[in-house]
Amino acid sequence: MSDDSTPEPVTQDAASGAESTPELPEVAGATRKQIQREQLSVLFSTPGFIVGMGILLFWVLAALFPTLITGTDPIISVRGADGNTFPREPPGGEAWFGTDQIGRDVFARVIHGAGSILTIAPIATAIAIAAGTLTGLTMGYFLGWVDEFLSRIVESILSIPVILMAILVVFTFGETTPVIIGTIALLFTAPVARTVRAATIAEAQLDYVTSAKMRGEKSFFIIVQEILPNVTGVIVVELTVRLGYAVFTLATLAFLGVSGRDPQLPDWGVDVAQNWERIGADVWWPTIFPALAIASLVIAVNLVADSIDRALKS
Amino acid sequence: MTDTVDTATDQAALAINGLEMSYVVRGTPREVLRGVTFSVQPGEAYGLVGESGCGKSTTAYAALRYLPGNGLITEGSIVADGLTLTDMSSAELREFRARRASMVYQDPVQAMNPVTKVGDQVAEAFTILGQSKDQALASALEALERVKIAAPESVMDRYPYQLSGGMLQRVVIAMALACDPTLLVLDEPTTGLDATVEAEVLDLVRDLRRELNSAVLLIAHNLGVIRTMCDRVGVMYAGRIVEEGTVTDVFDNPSHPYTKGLLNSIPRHGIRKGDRELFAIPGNLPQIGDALPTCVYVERCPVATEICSTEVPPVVERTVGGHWTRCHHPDRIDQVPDPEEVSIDHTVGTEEIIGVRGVSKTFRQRGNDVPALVSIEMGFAEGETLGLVGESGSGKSTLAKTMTGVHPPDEGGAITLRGREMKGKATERVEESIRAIQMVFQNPDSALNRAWTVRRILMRAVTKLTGLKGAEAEERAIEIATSMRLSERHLDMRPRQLSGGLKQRVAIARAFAGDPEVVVCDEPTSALDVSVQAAILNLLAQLQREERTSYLFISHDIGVVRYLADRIAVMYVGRIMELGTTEQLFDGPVHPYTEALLSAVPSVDGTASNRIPLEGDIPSPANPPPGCVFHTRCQYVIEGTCDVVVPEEVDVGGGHRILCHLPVDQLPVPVELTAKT
Repeated sequence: MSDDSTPEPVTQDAASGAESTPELPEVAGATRKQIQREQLSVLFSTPGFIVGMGILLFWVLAALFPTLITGTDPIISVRGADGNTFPREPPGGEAWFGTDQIGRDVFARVIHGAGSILTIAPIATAIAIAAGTLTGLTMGYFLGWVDEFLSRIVESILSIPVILMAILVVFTFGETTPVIIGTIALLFTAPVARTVRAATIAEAQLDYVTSAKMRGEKSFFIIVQEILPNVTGVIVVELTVRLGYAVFTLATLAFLGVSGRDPQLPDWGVDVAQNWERIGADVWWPTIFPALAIASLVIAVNLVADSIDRALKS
Repeated sequence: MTDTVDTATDQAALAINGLEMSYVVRGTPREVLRGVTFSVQPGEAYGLVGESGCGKSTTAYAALRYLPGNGLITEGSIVADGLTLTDMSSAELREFRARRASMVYQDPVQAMNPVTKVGDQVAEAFTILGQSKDQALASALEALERVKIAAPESVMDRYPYQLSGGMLQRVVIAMALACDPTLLVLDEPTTGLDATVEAEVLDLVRDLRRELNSAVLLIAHNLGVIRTMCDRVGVMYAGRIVEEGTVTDVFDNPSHPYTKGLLNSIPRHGIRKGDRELFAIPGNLPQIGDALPTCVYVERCPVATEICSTEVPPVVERTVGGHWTRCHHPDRIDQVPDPEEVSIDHTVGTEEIIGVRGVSKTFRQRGNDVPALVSIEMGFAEGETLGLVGESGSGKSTLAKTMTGVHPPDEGGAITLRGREMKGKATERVEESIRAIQMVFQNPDSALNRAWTVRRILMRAVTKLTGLKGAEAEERAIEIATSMRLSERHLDMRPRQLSGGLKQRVAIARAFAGDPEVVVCDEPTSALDVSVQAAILNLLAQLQREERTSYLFISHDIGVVRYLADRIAVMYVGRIMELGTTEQLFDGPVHPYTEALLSAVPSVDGTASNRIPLEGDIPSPANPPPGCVFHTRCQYVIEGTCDVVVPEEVDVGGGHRILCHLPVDQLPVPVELTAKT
């Protein structure tokens, strides 16, 4: 089709009458907007999504504005008018979730404890997703020795138990919040890279990649512009899964005493660690409520992730 | 089909009555079957044809009430062998499917468990019927013998991945026949197979049917397969059967405008691109879930009147033999325009544009050399179409990828552009060479980036291949899109919003973005329905007339190749066995392999009386037979010569090259099935 060719396409076959001139055939399927709208309506009619989203929003609110939910200070022990503290007070009355060993309000500690976990977990996950995606794309597209080399690193990270690795790193580099974030990000980069690698290998076999190679496109362009937009689906799923795991891992580390935070500050994992031994003495509330908070957050994230996944596939 | 079958039983093997069905998609039930009624008598073969999305597979699954979780039967009944499936409990249904009915699916690889030996899997079908383990194994061997599989004892001990597609489909059929079913449902049983293997499997089913007297419901989009296999056929459109009758009545005397359009859209009776264009049915199939209180075909019908869009048409008897059509105007069928025979000028240039000179390609696989291409020699003149045919595994796609620079050829061979040698790899080629050779792929879903809009896909190709930028590139992209009959509205859509035909148009537009000299078309229409295929073939022919582009046209559909190609090359195990003009190939003499290949194609024009069987599988290029690579399957093999000496290429006249030991006067002449009328 050089510039001197006839720009009018139809004329010639009008004479033949045989070619029916497929008059701009109609669009197949519903439009993108329609599909999105229907997927949203499926999403909002899934009980799992509503429950999960409700719990999640509650914890986000608690993390951002804890004082809206409770007026009680989480660090200072509750004192009566006579200045006495009320340690080990069972749930009910003034303190909904009871008080702990030194008379601090368990409800206030649970609410204020959301902040740290909901900051650290998303940041660590975001870093892991970014690094893992980049690594996975590189491995899956180039394969060969690049893949061999990076695969060995990924495998070696995956072969070490997460908690053990985290404890080692934190003890080596110091117990600070950035170190904790970095550790979890590094540990989660490996599984993300592995998932994205698999998706990239499948994409790279498709003909649009062959076609790009035939046009003489550079590898970087093919990876970032052509393949990346097509693997976002698995990345989103990986993001939600890893977020759940990050919450879980952080709580576990705090429980083991490597939270990177002052134990005075409210923290679900730390609180469980400080109080669990007293369950035997029937003082269960300072342990169970923060533990339930961890469980509810992990479950909420998973419920939302599952529902989104299912709505996209419906 | 030629056998007379006993249809005089009062109880049909399968009777579907007024079946209405919906799929629940994103929360809403969407109607897919809009009142399907037909019956299959014991011993009869009934075919269902129609384009994809018309509901034929859904009907097949519904016949065994074997529906996906979101399938919903809203109306009607399914009665098989006197039992009402629509009223059965799930336990009764299981029992019914185990003992009375069987199904064979499209892809035999997915139908088999990859980690269980074939023998054990076949035996499983018998243990379900209550046989002991030893008994079942003996029955399994017997079943494999019945489907005429080569060396059944050794097949028993092998795993599915060690068998070819054709053998696997035989195994699946053996399993399906375990319970001596009264009803056998075949859903596109040969669609993934080569024409030669397809012919073998179809022969087998035909023989077995004679033996078993079971009723067969065959679903196929290939009209030729239905014609050669079935007694009666139902033509489906948008969830309704629009015409039914014996295959001869329906295919030779179509009475519904849709059937007529469908038949006109395939290249029949040996027509060529110079004779006339193909008939493409305008418009698209209605969406599932669309309300259609009308004739389902009204939007695309050339003879529709007002009544067609207001009332459901009645069933109109055409002959006493049960040939009927669902049309308001059966008397106006003759007004459906026939494609006119006009001579269109297709001149082929004399200058060679692209030359393939002694190109070989050897892959290294686990330390072994696998010669996928062996000294390929061919050339393209300006405006010429070279058709490339051969079974899968013969090296057609490897040749395409070597030409386009995805794999560099071995040392010694060269691909030339107007006499100048090009670099092997696309990334090393100069812009001019990249622009000159582009490709259209088989599957547009895979060939177009799902995340990009059509505009971006075309703009990128324009920028990369012509060097135009910004507004100029956009102008050019719109210009190509228009010449592919895409509108500006389509430019802002993503591939999944387009129908298969539109997607392939975008892919063609991309290949033409840089005004190429040669476009490699790798089965560009095999993923499309016939009416869409017609439009794409017309488009390719028209572009060739206007742009003087040459095509390397790879296809397994002999009819399509014959329509479009000026010359045809026949490939086998990485070698060109024969190369000649289309006339030379169809008039003969031809290579024995070509003869077998041409005779294997099931034709909608009639049945082959003397098909040349091609037994066994194509040899692996890793381990080619000595002497002539075809001698293991050749019926004219000369002992002591063909299995020892590599044949020399012979020119049998007019540049018609054949790689064979047979003297020219002993070479076979192909069977003419599709004589020009």
